[in-house]
Amino acid sequence: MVTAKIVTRARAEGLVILLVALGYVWETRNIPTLFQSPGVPGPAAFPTVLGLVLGLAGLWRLVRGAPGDEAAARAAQKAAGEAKEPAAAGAPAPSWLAAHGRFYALWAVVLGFMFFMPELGFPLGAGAAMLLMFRLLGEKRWHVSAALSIATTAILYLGFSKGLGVRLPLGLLQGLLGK
Amino acid sequence: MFDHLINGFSVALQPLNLLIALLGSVIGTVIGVLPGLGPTATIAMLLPLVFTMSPVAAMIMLTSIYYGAMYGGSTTSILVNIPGESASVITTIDGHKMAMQGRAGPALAIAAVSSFVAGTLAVVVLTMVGRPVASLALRFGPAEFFSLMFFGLATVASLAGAQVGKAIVTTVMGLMIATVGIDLVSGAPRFTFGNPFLQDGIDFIVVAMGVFAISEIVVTAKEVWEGTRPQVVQAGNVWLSWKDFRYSLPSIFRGSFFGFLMGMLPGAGATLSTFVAYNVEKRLARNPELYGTGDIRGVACPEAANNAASGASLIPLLSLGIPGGGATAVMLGALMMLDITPGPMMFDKHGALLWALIASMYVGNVLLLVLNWPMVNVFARIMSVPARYLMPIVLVICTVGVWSLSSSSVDLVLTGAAGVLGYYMRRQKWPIEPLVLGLILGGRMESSYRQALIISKGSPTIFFEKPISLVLLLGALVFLALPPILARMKKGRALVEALEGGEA
Repeated sequence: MVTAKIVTRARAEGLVILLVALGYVWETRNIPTLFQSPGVPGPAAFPTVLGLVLGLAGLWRLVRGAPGDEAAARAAQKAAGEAKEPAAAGAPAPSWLAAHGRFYALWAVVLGFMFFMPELGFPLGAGAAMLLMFRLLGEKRWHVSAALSIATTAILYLGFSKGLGVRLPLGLLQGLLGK
Repeated sequence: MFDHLINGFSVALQPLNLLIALLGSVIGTVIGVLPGLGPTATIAMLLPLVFTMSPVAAMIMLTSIYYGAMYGGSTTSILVNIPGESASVITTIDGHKMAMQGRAGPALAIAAVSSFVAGTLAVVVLTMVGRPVASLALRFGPAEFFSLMFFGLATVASLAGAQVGKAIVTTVMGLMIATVGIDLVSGAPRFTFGNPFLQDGIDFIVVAMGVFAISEIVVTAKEVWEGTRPQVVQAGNVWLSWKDFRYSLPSIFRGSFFGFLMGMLPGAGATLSTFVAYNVEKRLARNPELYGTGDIRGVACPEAANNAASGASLIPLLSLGIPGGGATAVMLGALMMLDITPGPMMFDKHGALLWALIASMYVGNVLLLVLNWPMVNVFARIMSVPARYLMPIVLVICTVGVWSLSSSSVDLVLTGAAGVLGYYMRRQKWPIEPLVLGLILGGRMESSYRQALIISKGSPTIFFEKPISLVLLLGALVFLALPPILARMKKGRALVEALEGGEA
């Protein structure tokens, strides 16, 4: 069962790698060949070689699956089977939200902070991201999370912008502070 | 030769210069210990500080910041599994595992000690053979450089053992990321999709922060929720024992040797030396199976290589004007702004400055050891900060590190995307290190490849006609082919044993 899943995943990975390679090689056609001398490799030569190597590797994985992964999975399955206690019968399975909700929420906070920090500004973005992450990672007291995120944001903002001269965006606060 | 060095020491040991070296080491360590801010960023940020100084004082300041930031970068690799700079990527493999086993103290201490020993050896060798070796390095043409980079990538890919196929894919992906941006030979934009922020290419930090830091944050969070996070063992002894030191000493010497050898080649840099030294070490040392499990030699060897290469990289930097990496490139810029043009005449024209610089490197190493030895205990305590408080702060600092590169929101989006990719790779056991090394070496590898083909008028036989290039390519093939062959032989032996056991 696990082995079949791994073969499917390996083939899917092979397909993705192949498609990436094809897209990459296709894009090399858009590279302008300025001042190109005949018989000398131009700006598309090296990328074309890379694209072909990746494409071949993807094709190999798509056709062959992943023998190495299968062997490792079989060994892991065997070891897990020997170590595992029989599951308690009748125990209710956790809901999808309970099982994965926090995981996707964490990704949303991490990526949201990275994508929107320039618009939100460092103080608001970092403060909110840290507050939410403290909570997601298990700090149950709101006041502790809030105090920690405000203090850390202030220290990091002052340290980086005033101490090291990193120009951190003020974002929404810029309008409020009239800067 | 040693008279010059003694003169250099007399300059470097002047109270004001000592103070400058101390200040540079402290500032470099403090900034370098922040994830995302490596030596290049640190030196670039602090460059304005040195313009009012005399050339000697300025170079002492810069080299001290450089060494301090290098040590700071190793500290984050060991403690939070996030390399502060490219040369400490390999230190994460054993260093972080040591930290999780409650041996953060010895790991940090061996990083400082091996850096010191390698730095000392590098200075001695630099003094004795610096000048003749500078001319030897000129024998490396584009074909040899391409093969050297290929060899470096092959050794890293072979670290994946039987999974060498996956490592080849990730290496090529790294090389592909390196092709984004303006082509330096023809000026043509490549894979920029019309976005001006992509014209400068994708920085190593952007990808490294994603694949290492962001993925580490999510992996740690998952482990915390599932209760599977390995407990950091509280060790009684945070210092390096004599037994550990003796055990690591051969690795330190071997790492120093390979580091110096690769560091003196123009353009090879400290990063490649750490990867090659670690891999060769794994094949030469006793009990190689312990590497990757938190073996102290896995920290000692790359840290020694890194430091020896940094010392040796001064040879091409000062005698040929070719920097070995990003940080030395910034230092080259600083030298030129101070009206000192590195080149073959450097030893004759600016001899006093050169020897003062070599002496100050040694002084910097001593200062770092003296400074960091008591700090080991303080840094090691970071491991006892609960992950729920540490990881959000790491995320914000990494984001600032990426933002500080060019204040670009595109960089942040790319870091986020690299984070998702890094998380998938870690979950599905795809090796990350080859991707990062491919990205680091990609630009130099491509320019060597194209220069070689321009010289040979498009004939690829140039890579096989040059003896050094041929040896390196054959070495690369051996490294790539050996792990699958060995794995197959092991499997075959196990099968024979099982059959024999069954028959009996």
